[in-house]
Amino acid sequence: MAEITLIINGKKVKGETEDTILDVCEKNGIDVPTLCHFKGLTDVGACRMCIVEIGEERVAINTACTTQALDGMVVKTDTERLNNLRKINIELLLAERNHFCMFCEMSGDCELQDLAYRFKIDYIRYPLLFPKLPLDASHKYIIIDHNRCILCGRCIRACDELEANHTLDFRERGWQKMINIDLNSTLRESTCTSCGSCIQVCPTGAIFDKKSPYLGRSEECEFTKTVCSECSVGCGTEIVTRANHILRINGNFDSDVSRGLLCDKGRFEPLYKEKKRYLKPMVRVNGELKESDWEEATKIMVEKIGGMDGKDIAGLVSARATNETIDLFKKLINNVFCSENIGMLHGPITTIKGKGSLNKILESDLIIVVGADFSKDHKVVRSLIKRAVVKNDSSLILVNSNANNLSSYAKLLLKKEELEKVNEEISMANEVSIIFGYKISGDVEKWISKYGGEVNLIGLMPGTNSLGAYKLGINRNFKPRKARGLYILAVDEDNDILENIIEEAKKSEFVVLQTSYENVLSKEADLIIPSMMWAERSGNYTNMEGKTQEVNKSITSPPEVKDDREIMVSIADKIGKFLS
Amino acid sequence: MTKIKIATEWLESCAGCHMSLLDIDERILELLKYVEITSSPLTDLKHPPEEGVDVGILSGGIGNSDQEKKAKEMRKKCKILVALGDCAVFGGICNLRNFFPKEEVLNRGFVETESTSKGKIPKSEVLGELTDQVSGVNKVVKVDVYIPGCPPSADSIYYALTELVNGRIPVLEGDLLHYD
Amino acid sequence: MGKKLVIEPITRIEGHAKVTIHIDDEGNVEKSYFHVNQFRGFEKFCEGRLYFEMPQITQRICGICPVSHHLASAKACDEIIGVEIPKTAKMLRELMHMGQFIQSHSLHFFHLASPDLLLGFDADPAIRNVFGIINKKPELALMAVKLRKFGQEIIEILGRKKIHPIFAVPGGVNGALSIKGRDKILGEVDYIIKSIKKAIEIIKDWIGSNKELVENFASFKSGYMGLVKDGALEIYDGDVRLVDKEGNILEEFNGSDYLNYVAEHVEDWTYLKFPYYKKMGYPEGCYRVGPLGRMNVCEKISTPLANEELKKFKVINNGKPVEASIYYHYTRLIEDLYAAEKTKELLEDPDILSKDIRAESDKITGEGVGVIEAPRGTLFHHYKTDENGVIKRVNLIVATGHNNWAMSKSVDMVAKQFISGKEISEGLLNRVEAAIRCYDPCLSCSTHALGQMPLYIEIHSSNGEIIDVIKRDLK
Repeated sequence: MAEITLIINGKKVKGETEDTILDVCEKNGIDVPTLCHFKGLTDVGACRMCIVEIGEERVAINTACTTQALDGMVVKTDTERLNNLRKINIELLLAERNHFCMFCEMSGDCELQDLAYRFKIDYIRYPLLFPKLPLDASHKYIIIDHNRCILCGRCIRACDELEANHTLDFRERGWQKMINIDLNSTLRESTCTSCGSCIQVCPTGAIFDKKSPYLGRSEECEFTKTVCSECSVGCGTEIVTRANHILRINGNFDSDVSRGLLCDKGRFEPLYKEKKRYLKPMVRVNGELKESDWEEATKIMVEKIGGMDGKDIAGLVSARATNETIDLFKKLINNVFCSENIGMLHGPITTIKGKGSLNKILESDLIIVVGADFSKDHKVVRSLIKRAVVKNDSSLILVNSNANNLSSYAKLLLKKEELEKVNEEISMANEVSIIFGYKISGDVEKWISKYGGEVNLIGLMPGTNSLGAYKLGINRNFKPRKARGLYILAVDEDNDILENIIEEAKKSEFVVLQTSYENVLSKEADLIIPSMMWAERSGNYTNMEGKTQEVNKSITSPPEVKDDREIMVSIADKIGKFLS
Repeated sequence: MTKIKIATEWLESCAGCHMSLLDIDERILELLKYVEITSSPLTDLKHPPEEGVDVGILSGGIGNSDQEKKAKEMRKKCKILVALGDCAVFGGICNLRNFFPKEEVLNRGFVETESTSKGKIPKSEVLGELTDQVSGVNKVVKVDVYIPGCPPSADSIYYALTELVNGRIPVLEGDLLHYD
Repeated sequence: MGKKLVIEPITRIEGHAKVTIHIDDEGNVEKSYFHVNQFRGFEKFCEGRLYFEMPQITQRICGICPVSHHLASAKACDEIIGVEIPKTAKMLRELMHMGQFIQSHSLHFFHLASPDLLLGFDADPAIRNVFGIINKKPELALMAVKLRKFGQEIIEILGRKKIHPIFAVPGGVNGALSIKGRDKILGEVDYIIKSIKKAIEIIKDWIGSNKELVENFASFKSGYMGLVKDGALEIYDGDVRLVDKEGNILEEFNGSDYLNYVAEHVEDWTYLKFPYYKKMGYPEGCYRVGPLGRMNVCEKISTPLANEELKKFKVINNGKPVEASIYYHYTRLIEDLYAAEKTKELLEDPDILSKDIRAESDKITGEGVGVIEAPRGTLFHHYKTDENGVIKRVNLIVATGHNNWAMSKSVDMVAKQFISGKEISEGLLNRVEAAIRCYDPCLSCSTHALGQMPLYIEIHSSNGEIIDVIKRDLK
């Protein structure tokens, strides 16, 4: 890329050869109105807001977002003529569909409205058309109201370019043009993966989520950048809060792991879980859990477990806990309770270590997925794979993978016995990514080890911060056996992970459960210690690639719920040992 | 200085725009030094004086034949006509009716509604007839100043009135221009 | 040859209304009609929208009491998602409602009703308005401005706007009250209570010196309706109580069951329906709502000063319902006092600052009824949705509607009492408006919109031909 010089609004400015005029303007702080443009999506020049005058003698009007910047170009962005055209455009957009700002969920945060204000539109010179248009509220999380759609196509591009799902597209032409869902389906019945990217890119109130209408405008909200705690991808999120309530989870376009993309598990599910929260310690008295206080809880803890022999004590920690919490838990179990029995709640996993990067998936011409399941989590990895196949013509081979809707993208579907068939493909490919699950059999492990050094090897992890835990020295193979005292640091772990421990918990004499919510282990617990939930924690997570990312709390925990680390320190104190 | 004469009227509206006018609070005392309010829902005079007024303010859109008449009367009697609020500017929330034939709307209101007993659609020479479509007032009269908002804020209204008092046509921008 | 007086426009509750007075050959009033001349069709045009949009859409029914619609709608939405809202959410909704009662009741008394009372029914219509009050009694006018401002600011502090706020949502409210906001309101509330007490003295003095007029002015027997909680005045929650003309309790029901008790009658000559007590039929089952209705229905008020005033009110007719329409003005101010006292009580409870403001739910039950006392009377919002929360059916019975029959009756009574076809004066006709104004049917009427009456009188021949028009526009 070489440097180029343009004259924009009479001033010399610098850009690079690959830049569009809009890029150059952005780099030089020149404000050009845009509407269909969204950073991270391909520009299409649909809305004509970013029109600029190009040339001196013969002036051409063209869209800045789709016109390549050339050395020596003379550009004007803010002339009366341009602004009149822009104003006409906005008025036509307002007249074409049914915009009722007064009750719109997005009023105050609407890009169309902002532009109309910017161009001082106090009425619309054109007759309003009042087309009767549908509203699709069939989807669990997402609403599409065609009344407010300006056909900018951002949702379509996000669906196609980010999620690589292409559920959305246009249909018809001219006045009849509309956002289309599959073959004119409802969103509920469509191929939509519920990634929710369309919501985030929609400039108006045409696509929005069911949870957050009217709960707060941006100016009334707080925004916290953090990392998703739902799986080991470690997508960047932005938590929108108001009055200590979470309104919405956005994808963080600045995240170099996920680049704005999220899946339904990360974006919606955390807001849809109806669970009973523990707000105070609970102690089992005569078979019943009774509300207690911190003083009593730590006292019982020390009495019951403190007195046991180290080898009779086991500690299990959730992979949703931060590195800092896991580290301290390990020290508590090792140094305070003098036990070596510590492991992850999700149980043992393969010892094969991935050391590749997610971004490299997009650069691979061959992608092999072995024993991996994307139906519950790691869906953003699935999106990357789809993107590689659809956009970059990568080949995909699925081996023994219940990979949700990936099979239609695959060149080959193999059983694990047929693994050797892949070898030839690998030898022919330039860049290879192998993505494997955490429960793979010995022969698969052996096969993967063969390619360990040469390919982009990515191992899915069973929990958000599993890799962080292993890096802190937690044993990958640990399974508790007949512990008399069981200390479970569950934080806000899901029941399907906790279910694995029920039998073990039943066998134990005394079970301490440190948890945010009531769960399947509550029945077995003798002492329950309330723990912070995901949005209340701070610390670091290490994702499946080994990237360590900051977790920031977005809301404050209820008054009697303490930080997991603070709890452990006070337990150690009570025993008379120092824990740092 | 002679006071400028203002007449106001509401049409297909909720009265919120006139309430927002009252929300200028104490500033009304200042305004009354320069403004004489003639006919208005807030005073006892209903029709603008024969000789006319300087500024006529209409809030509410056109939803029935009577409102159309009233808008035309106001236009005739005033030099500058102001459309106050979303309904007057483009029809506002009442535009939602435009997605249904008026017969269906009337039928729901007076026949179908669950609590209505032996319903019928009111029809009388004393009642205005619903227009087929709701619209802003500029569909039937020429408008000189538009003040959108549901309702326009008291600040927007105060600003517009002071501009008019000073002989200028107000241009709303910044926080004063809003549609919600 | 009969005559028909057309009093027009009486802008109606949320728009325009007119009165026609039919006069026989002898010049006596045959019959008067109160026509409401606007219909916007919210019951139909909300169909297809989403339930959670309803608190925003339906508050646009009325710019004077938008908060009532906003809250009634939110209550219906609470039922749609099947939740009980947290304590603080309820307190904050109530606080906003109190703000609205203070602004609406104060607005009505000072801006709209007081010109009649303080300047006189027969005063020059050119000055018989709030601006006349400003000229004649500036301190009183300033107090009026401050009362209204106080109420409006409560609404603004909570819902970012004074009119059509964005605050109540299904399951609670969207924002917590800040300490700064609380302290601002609390800092002014004592002055507000004092001001309202002053207003109560004004109306009581006026009633005292116009005893005869008051007792004979649109005074008639009727049933009454209002919300109560354990027999006490309630404006946000509670059950609907219906009493008969002697004050005996006919029913006390949960608002969700309203269809079993309330039905609506339709007449050809007005766009406003006539609600009535279903078991008694129309028109026998017609009742009155609003401040007079509520005071006749409740036994006590939970705040001390307003309760003292209620006791005095109950003496007027020895514990039986008070019937004369002018008492609406008095009872309106008793409620104004209650709202101010209750504002203070709510703000002094530390829970008002809690952030526990929303109950969440992913359920859609498909139906919800929200009932609330709007300043002008009991308000019903009833929605049905599909499984996705898209509105399928809307039924609304608005506060002023319940008083439709009473307003019509009042107009008729006052017309018969004061008007004879031979000599019609503006002042006499103003009394007809004043009868409607008692009921404060959402500003328009009560605003003296029909003040300058008659705007014109059409004299019709028996076959309906107009043979003369008397115009009385002001110079």
